[in-house]
Amino acid sequence: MPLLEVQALDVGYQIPGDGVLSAPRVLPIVREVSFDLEAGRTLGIVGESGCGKSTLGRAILRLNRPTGGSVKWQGQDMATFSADALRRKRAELQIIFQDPLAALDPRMTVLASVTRPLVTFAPGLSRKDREAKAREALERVGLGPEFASRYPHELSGGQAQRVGIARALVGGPKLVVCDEPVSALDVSVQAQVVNLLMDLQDQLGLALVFISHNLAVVRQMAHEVVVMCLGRVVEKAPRQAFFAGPLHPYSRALMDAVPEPDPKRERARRGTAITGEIPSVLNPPKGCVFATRCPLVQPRCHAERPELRDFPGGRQAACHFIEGAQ
Amino acid sequence: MPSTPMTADPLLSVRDLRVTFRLPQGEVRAVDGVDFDLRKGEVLGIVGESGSGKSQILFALMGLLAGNGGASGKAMLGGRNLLALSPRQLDQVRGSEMSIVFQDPMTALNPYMRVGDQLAEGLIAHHGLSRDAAWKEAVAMLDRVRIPDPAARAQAYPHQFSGGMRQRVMIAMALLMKPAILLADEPTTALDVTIQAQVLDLIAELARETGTAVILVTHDLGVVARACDRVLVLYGGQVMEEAAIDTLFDHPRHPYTQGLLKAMPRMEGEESPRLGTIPGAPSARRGPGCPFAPRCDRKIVICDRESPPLLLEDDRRIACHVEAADAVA
Repeated sequence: MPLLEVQALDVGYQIPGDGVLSAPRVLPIVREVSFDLEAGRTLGIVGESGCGKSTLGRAILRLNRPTGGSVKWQGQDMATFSADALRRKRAELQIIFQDPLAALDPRMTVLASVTRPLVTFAPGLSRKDREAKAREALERVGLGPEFASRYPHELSGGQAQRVGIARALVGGPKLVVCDEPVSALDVSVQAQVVNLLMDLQDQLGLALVFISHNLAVVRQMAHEVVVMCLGRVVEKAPRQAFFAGPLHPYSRALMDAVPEPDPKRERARRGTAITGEIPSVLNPPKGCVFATRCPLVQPRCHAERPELRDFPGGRQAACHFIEGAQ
Repeated sequence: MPSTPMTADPLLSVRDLRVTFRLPQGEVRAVDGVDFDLRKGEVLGIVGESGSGKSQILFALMGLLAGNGGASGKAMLGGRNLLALSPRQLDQVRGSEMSIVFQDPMTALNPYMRVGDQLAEGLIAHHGLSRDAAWKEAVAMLDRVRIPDPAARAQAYPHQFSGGMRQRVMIAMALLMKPAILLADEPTTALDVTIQAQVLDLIAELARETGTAVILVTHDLGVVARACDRVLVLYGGQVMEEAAIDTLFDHPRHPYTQGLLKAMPRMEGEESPRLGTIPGAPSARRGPGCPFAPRCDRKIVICDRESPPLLLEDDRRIACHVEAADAVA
């Protein structure tokens, strides 16, 4: 049984209706997303602004409430957990955020921040034992004892993100949702944190949901890749097959747009950027979510939304014109 | 200070640029003796991490340093030292010879003004155009930066534009003045990758076609490879290495450049189990010696004590004790 099973998940936010007197309506942000995740594996979720990747990450932890579908944790539907049970369950499901400083209380020392989750998750532990566990977690992320008494403003971005990771680890999680955890960090520090997350996964058998707009980081971290566009999965594939040759034209466009530190490659790509804007979430296209920008678009794409279909090698893609579906 | 291997007749020539900020705890040196030349029509990248001083170089050139900051050295443009101009003289340079594009296009636009009026404003003030003539030029420039339906879009307000379109409006605004130099401070960092690619291609294309020289400040070596001709690698307010991009990416020589390139995850090529790392983090601490020495894995004793000598080669310069010692040996 997979650790996490996400089935046809919908998440929406309530927004005001069109007129003054009309009823509020639900704006769909994540639509019909499904995937499984096993222990020790990393699922990379990529997409541009507004594609729903962060909303999806939060829905996995039930930090927002799905409007349809289900999230099962070790076979149990999370919707059936009571608020209390859910709070305790979150020892097993943790999250780290993009802005590491904003995610820490400026008035709490590093040790206090990392100890705090144990008050909820392990109320039976003595204060001394909780602090010992917190120090252990700090050591695991490469922060020595001298950091315990520091405050967030005394930390660099990389150190603050390590504290965020230690705080996620202290309750002994099985799954960590990483929402753009290295996007705010300098390149040299980003590499340290990426390596740390990979080491921790090896040591602890963690499952990771790694949300990022940076495809190169996802190639480094993920075992499987999900590409989202306007709330929908347009492609899902094992990492190597995906980066060797994506099936969906949107995946191709994303990949081609990533600037590599290789002038010869980049010169060849100048002028090849796809044109057009990302359609508004408020007014998504009727047909394929990529139709307004797709270089291969056909009339059918505007009229009819392509279903996610299975392809050899455990791959899936939602495009009318990919051949060889199973 | 030795000069750089450069053209006889640069458009802009910066020598020994220093920027310091007065803080309650003392003076902080953000830019520490930077030299470079900018040629007509070239896109020069300045790449560095937090605190490298890369943005402060642009702010110093534009006279936009914060109130507690000061710049010294020389920045010669058309026979004048930009760092020694009166505010009025600087206003004229800013209007007509140099323009700047910032990272966040939303906060750089006035939310209460139609985009067309914001574009026309500069032409009316600096070039003495009538409102109609200025508006017409504004619409033509929106078309030039590929805003669809430009005549109608000029009537719209900034919030009605997407992030990528706003940044193209900023570029249009900068180029309307027909500047000799366009300064761009992380112009695509807030944009999605597909939009980033469009904007970078646009900047490179406009530089080629109009002869406008561009200084593009970024933290991303990929952006440099996509859009620039030459690059300065900055660390701790000093130039570590400067070269044409092919030279730099094919054979990085400075330990910092090498470390940065190894730390970047790649889209292509062999997978590696772990990324290369540089220990520690960029830090503002300054002492004698090379600013990168505390993090350098090739450090020798002298690196902590003396500023690195500048090694000049045909198309590059490197500030590194170790490389200099190798060159002599």
